[in-house]
Amino acid sequence: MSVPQIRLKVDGFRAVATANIIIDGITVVAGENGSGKSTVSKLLYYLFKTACNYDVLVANELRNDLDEIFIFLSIAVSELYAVDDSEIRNELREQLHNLKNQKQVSQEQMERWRHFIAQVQQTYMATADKNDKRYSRLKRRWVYILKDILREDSKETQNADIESDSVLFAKIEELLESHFKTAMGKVNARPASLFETALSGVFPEGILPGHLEVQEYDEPIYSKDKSSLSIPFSIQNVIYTDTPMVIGKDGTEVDYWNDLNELLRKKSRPPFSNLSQIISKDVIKGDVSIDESPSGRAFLYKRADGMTFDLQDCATGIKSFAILQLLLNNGELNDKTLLIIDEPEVHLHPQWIVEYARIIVMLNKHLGVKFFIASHDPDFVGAIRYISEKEGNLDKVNYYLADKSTKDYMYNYQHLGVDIDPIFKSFNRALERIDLYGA
Amino acid sequence: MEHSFRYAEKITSDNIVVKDLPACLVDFDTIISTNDSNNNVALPQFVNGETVVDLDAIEAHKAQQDGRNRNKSMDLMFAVEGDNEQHLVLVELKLNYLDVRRNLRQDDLEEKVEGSVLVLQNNIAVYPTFYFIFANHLIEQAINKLSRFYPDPKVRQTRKTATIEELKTLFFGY
Repeated sequence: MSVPQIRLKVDGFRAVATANIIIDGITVVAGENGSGKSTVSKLLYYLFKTACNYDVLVANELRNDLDEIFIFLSIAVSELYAVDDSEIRNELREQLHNLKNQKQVSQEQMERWRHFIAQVQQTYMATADKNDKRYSRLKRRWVYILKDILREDSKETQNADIESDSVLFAKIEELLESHFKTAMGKVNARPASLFETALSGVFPEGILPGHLEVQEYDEPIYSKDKSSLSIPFSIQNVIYTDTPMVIGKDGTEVDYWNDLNELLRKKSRPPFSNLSQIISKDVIKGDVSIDESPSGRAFLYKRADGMTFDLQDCATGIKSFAILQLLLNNGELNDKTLLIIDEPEVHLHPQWIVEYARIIVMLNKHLGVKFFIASHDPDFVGAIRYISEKEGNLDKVNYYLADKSTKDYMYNYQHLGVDIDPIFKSFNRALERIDLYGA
Repeated sequence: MEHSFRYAEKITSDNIVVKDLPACLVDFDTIISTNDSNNNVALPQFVNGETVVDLDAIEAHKAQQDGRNRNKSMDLMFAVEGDNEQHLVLVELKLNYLDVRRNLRQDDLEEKVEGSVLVLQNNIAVYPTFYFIFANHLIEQAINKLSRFYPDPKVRQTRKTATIEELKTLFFGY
């Protein structure tokens, strides 16, 4: 029996009583509403998002931490240089913005910031030396700002003689160094706390799973006993979609929606795969692309007869396939991708549900894309099963059924292998309801 | 699924179609074996020597007698009695299916029902529910598929999927 690429184990978290889930190709979970399927989706998404983008996330954190220093230096630059020094002032502003926009966590980057602070300090000291009238005004205000940045209620800050000119800038430099060293430490050590912090922002009650472990080839990449988060190999990018309605909606409060839209906007890279052409010719009878005009932000659907529409105005079912086509065309779907999809069947006619399942099987077969899919639909569940069998990749398919636990409102995830009859048994309860209410 | 009808061996073996074609009376296990080329059902199932009527054989014989083409028919029938009534239960075996998605068609099922009812006219009343028997590992998918053919729950009451075990419990007292 081969070792699975990825295994997620979680116990006693939200609606999940026990789950031991393999992702080795296509994993499909079925179960009642409220059985924890989206919880599992989110655990997977945030784990791999953190693990695969650790350095970038730390760099973003550092950038946020440097915000107040940036604002202080912006104030310093705008107030230190008089109107007739506007050329120098603009050059310094540009330097400062470049510093802020560079997402590097490194000694070199820290030195660049220190050099900038030294430049500003030099000008400030020259102002004091000249007995410039601006000096006392600037200094008074800056001391207050600095105390605020350093959190003036700390004893250390109260005792420090910030009033002294040399201490003023030394404190800024100290703070800068502290942020950089923390960030560099995180990049080296990869503490798992970064993932745990992300999770605590996702689940409203802020409670984290008591037991959670994610393994790659049976070795933990994350567990509560492990202080660091390993770099995964078999998954290097993760995408999560729970509704096609989100396409083109930027700046939402849901970060995996924003992440998805950012990916969808990446430039497409021809030549396009056969699978993209199958979507165009066999299903949506058209192509989806990004409006590449300078002011364009829209996604476009060009129908086979040449008519072009804003994708926002198109049927939601077309948007479902549009997401797959855009990701295919811009190269985001490959053998290191985990694509997490909640309820792909929503908004799709039964015929298109089967077409969607077919595309998923082909993406796994030909590109090695890995899937974690939650579904309520008999046609989708059956189509994945039988199309995979016909295409010869049934050995990569795993089904799970969320079954009621003895604990109220909690579910055990049963591994079914490729036996989908138990899932149909749960679906058939709907027929019993029709017989009850309608016979 | 509660009812009072039970398999009636004598009424089955004394049926007029059997008198006309004695070879149509076969062991239930034999007809299962013939229809289960993939060995999805472990035998023996009917350990009391229960016999049933091979409806395909009856239809073939009748068609020859009438000089016509064969109609489709269900696989077997057996008599039941209860509540002072007698009925003929018609059963179609789908035991050799590897999946229910292919080859299971509503028009095919309905033609078999119709052909069977026709060949048994002037006989004991046909039981109002027709049974389609699938292997255990496909039964839920079969229920789901047949629900697509018969979305009306009242109609679904007359066309039921079941496993061999369920049929045994329903009519044979196992």
